[in-house]
Amino acid sequence: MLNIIALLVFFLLLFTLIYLFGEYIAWIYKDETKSKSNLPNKLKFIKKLDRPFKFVEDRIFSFLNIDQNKEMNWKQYLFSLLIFNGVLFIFLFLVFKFQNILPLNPLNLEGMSWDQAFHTASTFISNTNQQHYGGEILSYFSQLFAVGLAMFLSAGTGLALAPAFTRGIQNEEESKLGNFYVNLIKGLIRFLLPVSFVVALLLISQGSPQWFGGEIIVNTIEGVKQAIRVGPVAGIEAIKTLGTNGGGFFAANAAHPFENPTILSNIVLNLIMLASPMAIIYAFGIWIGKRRHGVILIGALFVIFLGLFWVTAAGEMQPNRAVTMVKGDVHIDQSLGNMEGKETRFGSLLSSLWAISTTSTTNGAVNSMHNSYNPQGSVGPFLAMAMNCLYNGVGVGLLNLMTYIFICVFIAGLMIGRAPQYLGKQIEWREVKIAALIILLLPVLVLFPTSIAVITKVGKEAIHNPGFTGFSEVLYEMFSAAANNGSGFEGLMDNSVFYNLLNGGAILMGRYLPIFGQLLIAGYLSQKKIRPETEGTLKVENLSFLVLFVGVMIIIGGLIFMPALAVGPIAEMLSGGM
Amino acid sequence: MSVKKNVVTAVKLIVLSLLIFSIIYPLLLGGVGQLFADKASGSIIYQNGKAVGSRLIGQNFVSDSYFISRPSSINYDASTSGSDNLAASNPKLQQRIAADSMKIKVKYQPGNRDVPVDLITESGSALDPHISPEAAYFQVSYLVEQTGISESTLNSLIEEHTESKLLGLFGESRVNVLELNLALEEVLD
Repeated sequence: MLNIIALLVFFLLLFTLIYLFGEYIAWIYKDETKSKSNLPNKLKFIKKLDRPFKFVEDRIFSFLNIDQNKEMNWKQYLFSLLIFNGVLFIFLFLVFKFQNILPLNPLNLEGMSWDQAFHTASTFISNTNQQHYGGEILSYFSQLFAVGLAMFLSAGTGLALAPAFTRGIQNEEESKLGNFYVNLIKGLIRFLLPVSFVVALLLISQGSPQWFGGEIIVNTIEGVKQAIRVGPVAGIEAIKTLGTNGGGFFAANAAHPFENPTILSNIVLNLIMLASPMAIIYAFGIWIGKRRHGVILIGALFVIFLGLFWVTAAGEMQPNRAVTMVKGDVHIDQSLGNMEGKETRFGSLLSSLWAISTTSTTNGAVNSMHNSYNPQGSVGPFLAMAMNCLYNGVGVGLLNLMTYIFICVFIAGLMIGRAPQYLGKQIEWREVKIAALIILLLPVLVLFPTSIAVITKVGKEAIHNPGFTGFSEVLYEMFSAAANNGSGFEGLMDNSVFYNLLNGGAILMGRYLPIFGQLLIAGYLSQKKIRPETEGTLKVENLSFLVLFVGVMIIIGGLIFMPALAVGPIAEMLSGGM
Repeated sequence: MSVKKNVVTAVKLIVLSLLIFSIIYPLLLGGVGQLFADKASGSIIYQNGKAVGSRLIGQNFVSDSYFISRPSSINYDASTSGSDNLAASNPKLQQRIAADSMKIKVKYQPGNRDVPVDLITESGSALDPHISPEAAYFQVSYLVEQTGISESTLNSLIEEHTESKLLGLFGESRVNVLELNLALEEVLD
């Protein structure tokens, strides 16, 4: 009962935050998206922020020599994005490879191998943050000047895609989607930076360090030396969570008491992790002048989210089987549920909530170790990643959602026997084809590498746990890479040339190919006429659309992966262990 | 924009971003974070002027006169972190838990009392500073024998150091083992 009240309070806070973030983000890109609605009266005060922000932005634009009024078509937009991310990639690669000769390395850590530097640079430019290393092997220079930087810029890149895509829907027979650099910089300066700063201060107040001292050596009361690694943790933790990044400062990620010190910090991080991608979906509704449509979309995703959460929480409140099997008349009090790999302060419920939040938003930070979950518990995170269309990443989440919507509208069109239309735009074979290709890309990028890994010696050697879980480890890693999620089953010994190249490649393709396809769709839509709504138009603001959309997502997103999941966690669950 | 102009803009933007996000942002945070005194620098606890640990980082207590922490595959070496990631179906986990619960049984003689599950499972960070209150009460009768402190004193120490759920709703109640042991030491002196 108490748990249900706790969840209700949590979701109430979440919806409030989505409302605030959503209205705010919608306001930021009001002009860039040709928004059809305004700030609600009670939030009008936000407009006062415009002048100081504009002052800073104008200085940045003139330094960069960018003409704010010069807009780009979809090709130019994609081109600027790719070049910007490419330059960032080269910079990150060099920092990781040569951190040994760079400053701010008080512990004299070594540079990464070329393959690990390739994987790590790919993962951070693409907002994936899959880590084939423990955070403790990075110098402060790498943490601040590579990881921290990329966390802002990759989230900004994702965020900048949302207004451009929306513009494609709002335009009528024109080609300009906006200016990539303007959208990027506005998102960084107005949303990601100030919100991160506030969250980071809150984290410091809870005990997350922001310190540059390397290690603190203490002498314990038992006379043992303990070296305690500190660092500028709080600042990175804030943008890591807000920007759906997820790469931990420490190997233990958000389970580490310095990253996530208290229950309060856990609640705050969990809230902003969900709110930032969800708010963009809400903002989309505002831009197109149909707030209700945004609410319906969030609602549809929320139904699936709750289902997955229920499966996982119910699984994790059960005892861990390894504990149940203890013999020799030791009686164990298992009322806390499965505590292997979980922190005392969070317990099973908050750990399960986080696990589903982090996988359904492509965040990837963990506050408990998914590898030690009960088989039933691990099904939820698996499915949340497989669908890759729940709230998903900042900005790109909206684009992935739209991809599913086109399929959904197409199927609905077939069912009612009318030409499919979405928000007045005719959805034709070109758009549906591209959308289908984007959706099929994920199984290709997940299942092919998985099969290569499980039939090769080098792939199999990395497996940490025996049996079905071993297969789950590999499958999870491939999902995490291709879906740009970054969450880890963690057991897999993945720092090898084989996994670094395989995952690194999948990460890059999983990020940039869908962006290419989605901008192309935006370009097509932008050229079309907007048709007036008639009685035959599919209504997107009612409950039947919600049901239809949930159905399409479960059938397409979930069932593609059923066979693979059946060999992993489901087989383990049914077999009762080994 | 041409390729060249795009590259120049990208490089300039990355340089500017380094200044904003990698230098000003963390330094400003570090500065303002000083408002929270020791919290920004690792919540270090001092005893007689000497650093004995961090409030947030668990320690491995082996002496018979202290409360013990949860098992840790890295022995609470805080220069690293992260559990052993053993799956529920892994025989290694079953063996480890069987061995740990046997040790607990021999040391604490639970009789028909239940062993709290957190004393035989590893945390995610392997640096968990807390145990459940039940896990602390479980150790009381043994510590009465070892230290000679009365049961009621130990119970009230645990009660004092029990942190409850947030708003009575979120998370789990817990006891900070290092702080509890420091308090226990004070009683001993």
